[in-house]
Amino acid sequence: MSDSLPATPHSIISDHPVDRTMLDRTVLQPSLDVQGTTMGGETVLLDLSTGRYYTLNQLGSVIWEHCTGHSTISDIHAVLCDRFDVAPERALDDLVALVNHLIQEGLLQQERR
Amino acid sequence: MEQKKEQYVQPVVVKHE
Repeated sequence: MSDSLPATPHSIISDHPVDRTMLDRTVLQPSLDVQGTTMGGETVLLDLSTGRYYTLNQLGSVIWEHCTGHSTISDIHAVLCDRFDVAPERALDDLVALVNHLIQEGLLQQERR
Repeated sequence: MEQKKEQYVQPVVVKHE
């Protein structure tokens, strides 16, 4: 008999970089100890577990606002391309770079659907 | 009519003390 836990539909991935082949199956959400507030288009993030705080510029804030556990990375990419004057390739490169940075800092968690 | 898009700037996060 196995002691394994029952399978869940979603699985949280640790602090690995984003898998670019799974962008349409990867959702993002803030880590438990992170509080964020957006003011004047910019966002301040406070990591209560480390005492560090971070600021996001306008584009970073738009991305952060979609990291609620509902939108996939592909969804967020589509929002950026629809709203901003940017080449899709550049938007994706910048999005993945920012998300990887936020994951590395422990501010974001990624979850596979 | 073509939709007017906002200016794009690279998304940035800055870590503070």
